[in-house]
Amino acid sequence: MKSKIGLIVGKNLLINRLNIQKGVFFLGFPYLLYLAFIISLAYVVVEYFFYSEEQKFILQDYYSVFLFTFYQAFLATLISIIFGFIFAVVFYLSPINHKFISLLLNICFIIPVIFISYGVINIFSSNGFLSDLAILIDVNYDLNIFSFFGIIFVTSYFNIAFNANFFYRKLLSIPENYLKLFKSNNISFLDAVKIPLRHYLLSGYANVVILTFIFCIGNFTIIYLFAGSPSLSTLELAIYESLNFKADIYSALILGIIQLFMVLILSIPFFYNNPSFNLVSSTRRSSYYPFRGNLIVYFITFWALVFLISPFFILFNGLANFSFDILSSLTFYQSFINSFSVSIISLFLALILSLSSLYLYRFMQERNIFINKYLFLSIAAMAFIPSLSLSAIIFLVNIKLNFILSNFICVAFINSFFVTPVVFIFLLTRFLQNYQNAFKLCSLYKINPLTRFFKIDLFFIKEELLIISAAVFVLSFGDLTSVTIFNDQSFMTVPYYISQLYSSYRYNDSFFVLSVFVLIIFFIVYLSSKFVSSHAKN
Amino acid sequence: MNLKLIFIILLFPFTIFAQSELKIFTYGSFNSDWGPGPNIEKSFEEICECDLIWSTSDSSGALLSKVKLTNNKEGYDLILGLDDSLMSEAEDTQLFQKHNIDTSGLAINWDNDYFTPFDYGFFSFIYNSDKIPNPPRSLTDLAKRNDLSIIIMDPRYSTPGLGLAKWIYQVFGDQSTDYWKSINDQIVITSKSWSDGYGLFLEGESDLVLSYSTSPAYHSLIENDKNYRSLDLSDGHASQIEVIGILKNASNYELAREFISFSLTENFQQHIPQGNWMYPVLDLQSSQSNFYSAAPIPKSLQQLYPSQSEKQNWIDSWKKSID
Repeated sequence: MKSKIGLIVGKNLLINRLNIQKGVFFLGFPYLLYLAFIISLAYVVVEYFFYSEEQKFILQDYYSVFLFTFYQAFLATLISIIFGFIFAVVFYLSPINHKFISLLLNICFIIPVIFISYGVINIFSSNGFLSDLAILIDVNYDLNIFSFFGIIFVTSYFNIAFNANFFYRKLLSIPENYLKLFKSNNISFLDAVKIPLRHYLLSGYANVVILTFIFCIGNFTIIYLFAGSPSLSTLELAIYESLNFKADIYSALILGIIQLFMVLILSIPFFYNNPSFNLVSSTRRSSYYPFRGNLIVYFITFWALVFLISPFFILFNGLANFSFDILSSLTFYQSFINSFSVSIISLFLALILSLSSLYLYRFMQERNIFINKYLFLSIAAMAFIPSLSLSAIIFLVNIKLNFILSNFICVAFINSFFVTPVVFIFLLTRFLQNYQNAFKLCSLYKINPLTRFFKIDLFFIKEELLIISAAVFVLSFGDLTSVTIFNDQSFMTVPYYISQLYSSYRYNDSFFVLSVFVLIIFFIVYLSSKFVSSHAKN
Repeated sequence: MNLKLIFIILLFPFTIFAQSELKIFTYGSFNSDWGPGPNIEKSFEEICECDLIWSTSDSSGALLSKVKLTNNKEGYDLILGLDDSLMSEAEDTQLFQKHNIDTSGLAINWDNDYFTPFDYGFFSFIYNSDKIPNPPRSLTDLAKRNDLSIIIMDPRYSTPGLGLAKWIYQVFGDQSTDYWKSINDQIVITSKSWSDGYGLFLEGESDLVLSYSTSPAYHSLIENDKNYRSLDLSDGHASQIEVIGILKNASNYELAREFISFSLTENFQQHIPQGNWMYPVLDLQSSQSNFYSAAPIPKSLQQLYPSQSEKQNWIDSWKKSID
């Protein structure tokens, strides 16, 4: 009898163990596929360099490109750090609703680059708002926005919002007892920032600086739209030009790999910190609020808001140019369908891959398997691979595959790669929350990994998952990098269609499509925030 | 009954009505709503009983690059829109085949086995006569006018950009670099494509823009604005000839030849002046007098067909002198 019971128990244990293994394999399989894909990419590149006959790359030709890439990135980062901090402080001290500021900073960071770029052109170009104003007050206006100024202005725009968001959230999160302490000791806000709060405000900031610098290096769309001189060329633009105009995949790949290595070296400190970011979800300001701004603060706040909001005025310009012809054109709908499809597929791929990676990461952490750090590295590193470098590699792979991958698939793949680490890093903290207790309970009750994942984990992170899904959908929706390489008559996304209209001197039409495009993005963001807030109430 | 036979019988009616396809790869503006492509397609399909399929790229500069990279995997039959400066490079790729079509009797001298011309034009600088009452009369004069700002195109990626490099070389020879240096301060924007640069000029970003001597005809005939004019330079103007070529792996060589023959008839050429805003390669002065009077043919320089190394020298000369 005893042996029979033992047999049944043993059999159950074995089945349970097999189920666990099956579950782990099932959940970890997408990550393994991803690893295999990355290794294949590396193999194709290495093999190409060994056997390629067209070795005509001359490094000397690209010295100025390297120099300019780093110079503009350094300058834009510096400006973003300084103004990001100033904006955060004045917003914190101003009486403006903090929810509005948070929303504005979030939107300014995720809004498509092409929208802000045309918004800036709408203000600063020779036919723009400032020029009209100058004519009105009889002042000479000779600013050329298609220059270094334009590049730095727009690059800084996004990164000032990114840096300001970081500091603003930190300031909002200052514990109430700290504030009371400052008040009771008559410590002014500036003095508090200088000494007691300095470490608090700067903790985790190194990662933001690194990310800012990397965003500034990879500002392809901005350079593509604003570089009015051949000397204003970055590595990404050089890759684009090598592929599109010189049919020189060898140079494109070398430039891509050089950029990749430089960016990865720069990002090493980032990986040491195992970062997690929460720049999207809401933060509440303490009800106790002792600091008030003065006239200077209000003055700077006003100009900060003008800086951040003014590019949005292009919306009025676009909607005023309502065009029935555009709305009834097939290309308009095709481009929207393409953009939606690409974004949905890249979001789907990114979610599968990042959830699989998160699961494996936690699985290893629970069992003290320390290679999880390498797993983190293998996913987070994708955030640092410049989109155009990846495009060059995918282009080569497609040549090897005799072009079986359509432009649509290539763009969806590339977009999914650069949004996957965003999802992964964003969800990491929440996914690991309380993992030891949960692990013990799951072991105790012999809960299958699949059950745990689908019924417990996904339920637990669903709010964050929705927020980040909306954000990465918008990022992918508004992207204008890989599509400049992978496009044809039947496949163009909305940002590419807008840039084509603009290039064809159909400015009013391009602004109209842009406005429709951005309103759809606002609607997506609104829906997701509405869902999250209703869920929070429940 | 054999299933295959039933299948073939069922498909038979469709095979009767199936039309042969002709795939043409060209630059975007040629087949845009306002370009000559749609009208040409209509005219050709009426006579060929075929389906003409257009594919487009951003610019003419990117046409050859794309076909080279993909080895014409897309299976285009024809490339329409390469120009005389890209011909030698295109022939070197060995992606093209001979057309065997008689090109005598055209408005321009032509002798090339691989490509046939479909339009031509002269590079020039366009200005608004309201703003510039006394325009420069020569390239040297232009360089002395520091009050005038210019938009040009990048010669590495744009055919008009390369056309300007050729023009400067034809006029100044070994002193080209010095000339580039002398106009360097006046160049406010070097755009990647002609359409980008021309759009920015119309938006008021500069006083002059590199374009074609035919551009004012568009403003005059379509917008009824006669203020836009082309500089009439005593040095003469460099020319550009746009061509069509049959690709080696064309699926329908005879149909491709038929299209090329069609491109040299009035049915095709009549759409060029007020569609592509270039001169047709047939002399249509009598039927298109409006166009010719709005865009008189300027003093021209001798036609050059540069080799790869010559082109590289022109570009190097430009690169040495720009900021």
